[in-house]
Amino acid sequence: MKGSIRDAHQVAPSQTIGEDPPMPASDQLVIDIDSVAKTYRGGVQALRGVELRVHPGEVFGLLGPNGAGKSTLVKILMTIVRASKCKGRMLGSAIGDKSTLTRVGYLPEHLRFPDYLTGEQVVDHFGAMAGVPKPVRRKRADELLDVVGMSEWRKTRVGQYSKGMKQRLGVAQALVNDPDLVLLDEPTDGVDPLGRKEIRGIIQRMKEQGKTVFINSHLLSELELTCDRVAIMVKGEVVQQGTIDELTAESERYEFRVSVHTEHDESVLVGSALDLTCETIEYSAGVVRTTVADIHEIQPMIDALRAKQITIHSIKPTRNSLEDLFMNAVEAGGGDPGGVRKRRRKDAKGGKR
Amino acid sequence: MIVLQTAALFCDAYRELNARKLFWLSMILSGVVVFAFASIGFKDGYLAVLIWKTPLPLEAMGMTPETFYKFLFLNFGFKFWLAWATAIIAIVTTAGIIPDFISGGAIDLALSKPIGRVRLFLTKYAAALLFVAMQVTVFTALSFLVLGLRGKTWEPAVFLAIPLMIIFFSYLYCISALVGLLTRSTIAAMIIALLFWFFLFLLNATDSSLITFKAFTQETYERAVLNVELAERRKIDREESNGDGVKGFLLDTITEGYDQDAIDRAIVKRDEAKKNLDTLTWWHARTVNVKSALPKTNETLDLLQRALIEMGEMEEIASSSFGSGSGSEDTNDRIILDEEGNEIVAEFQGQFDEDANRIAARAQLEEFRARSILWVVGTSLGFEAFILAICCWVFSRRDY
Repeated sequence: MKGSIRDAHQVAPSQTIGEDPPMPASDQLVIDIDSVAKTYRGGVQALRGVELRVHPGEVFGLLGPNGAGKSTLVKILMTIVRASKCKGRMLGSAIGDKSTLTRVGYLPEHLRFPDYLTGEQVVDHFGAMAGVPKPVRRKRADELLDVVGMSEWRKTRVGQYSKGMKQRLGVAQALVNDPDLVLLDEPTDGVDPLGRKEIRGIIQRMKEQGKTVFINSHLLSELELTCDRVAIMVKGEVVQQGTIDELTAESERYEFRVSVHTEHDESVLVGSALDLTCETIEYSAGVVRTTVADIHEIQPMIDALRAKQITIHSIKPTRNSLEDLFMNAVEAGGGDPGGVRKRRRKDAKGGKR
Repeated sequence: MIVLQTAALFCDAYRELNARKLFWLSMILSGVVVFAFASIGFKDGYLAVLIWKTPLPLEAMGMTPETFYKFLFLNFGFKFWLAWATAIIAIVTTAGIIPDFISGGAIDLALSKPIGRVRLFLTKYAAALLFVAMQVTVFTALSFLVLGLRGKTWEPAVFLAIPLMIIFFSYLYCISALVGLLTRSTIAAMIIALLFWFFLFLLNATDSSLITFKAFTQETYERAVLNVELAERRKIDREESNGDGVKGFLLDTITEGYDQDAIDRAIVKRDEAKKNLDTLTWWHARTVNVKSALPKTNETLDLLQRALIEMGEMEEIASSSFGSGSGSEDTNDRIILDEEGNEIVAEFQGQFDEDANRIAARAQLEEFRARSILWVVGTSLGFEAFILAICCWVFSRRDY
């Protein structure tokens, strides 16, 4: 399975690599891990040899269904879980090196702050734990609480916060040490659509400041909007990683929107112009879908359609969405895409509220 | 960095305590206890509490007002209020600190900071002792003023109560922390810590009782040895007496009944006493061995008494507090001629009853004060270090 891991930077040079900026050398990678494995007591294999590379200044998304091992991987990076096997480095130091964590910010999934602390005290406390001097902490606490929209609640005890407010506060505490790398585990969990938009804005700002952001999320649309590169993880293995463009390039194809102004049946007419029995062409409801990615290859199709008096409204190149890519990867990995689909629908509904 | 993180953890511990009602309830009750302590006064052989008066012959009890105040501070303020009531409240209040600390979502944040797990755990552990440290500091400072202003004795040694109480509580809290770490349950941590304390209390009570029994038995044995010698001497006197004259008549009367049987009975009693003494000594040695490996809560607290009250003063107080004539009623072990009821028996009997309580009190005091501070505190801290080492090992190796 390890052999199936595909880093799009290393494959298919004819498709996209020529257009990519030169990639940094391995020693410049923010996260460069190889063969990370974790077997919990009881024999549960959470990670089965994960390879991952995160480049400086990028927003990296880690996708995967429940139980894929995403949080375990992040926890290994943050020294919360001890890897059974781990080769690699984070910010130039070996994984597990505590001193590196002064340069890392972390927002855990299901985070829980002490109820007796106020928002301001939370940022101050975790800033001190990260080794930030008091005057700097105070200044940053003011700025960050303002950035996450929590200034008004700074003196209120966390016990009275909603889940979304706690999540915003979590983002603020993750940034208090002005980290080079920020790991966000489900950052928009429990946050309303407005809050999600704000968090996306914060992530964008981090990127502009040159920080590397690692997002662990099951919200595909969120990742699609924010991430430069993604990795898809299934059953403890990274099965694909690269830019969204790279990963979806393989599925690039052309679609025609067509209509017929005669009495003939549209599908019959299209069928007479194109060979619908072949696997590369499909027609339904006024749309001809091809698997052809080469513009030259569709010219004969255009000629054939026009010859049958079929009106072509549009010809556009199209690709699989991240969701399609994800579903395919999960299905290929023997995962449970149904569960993911359901959750995505639920999230989408939540998002529309 | 280390200073920043340690300060942050202690500051957090203070905020946590500050948010708990029990902490402030305990603090208020400490104030009430000190107020009660301060309201006690002495004048002309009377004990006055606010507007009430009662005769209290302190001198008969072998005490000066200064000693009485110190005794009151030690036994009521320190050993009862701080070492019992406050300690129970502290165990209840702090039992949840470690389980809360390692709960999901909270521990992730703590572990993701640049601090080693062992240092993180030990600092958190030390910070949890803040509850007792604050309570005992406030109580001791106020008591110091009361002792000075009311008892006319300024005793800086009372501040020893602060480290002693913290050390004492830490013996119990290490168990609470270990159970909290293993089970993640506040209730389990609290109950096991209380049961452990009860077990230590029983062990200490066993130690004290065995010291007392051993002292009694030692006394009985020494008297039995004397009785054997006396019986042998009287038998010789009787055999040598010719019964002539007043002297011979008196000697015959005094030594009547002292034959070989009497000597044999005395020897049996002596041997029985020796056997009992050996048995008690064996059991006591085993008890002390067990105690050596465990925390010595009572003896740690008694170190304050050692610092505040001299041995002689303590003997006076201890023996007078037992009263007189309330010793053991069992005389058979100590008398050789119980059926005859002659003057020798009466003399020994009376002397024994009079001394019994003094012997018990003295034996306990001597035994406990003979135990070195290094043994009392050192071995107890050794136990705590062992438990903390297990805690650190568990905490360091666990995945959260």
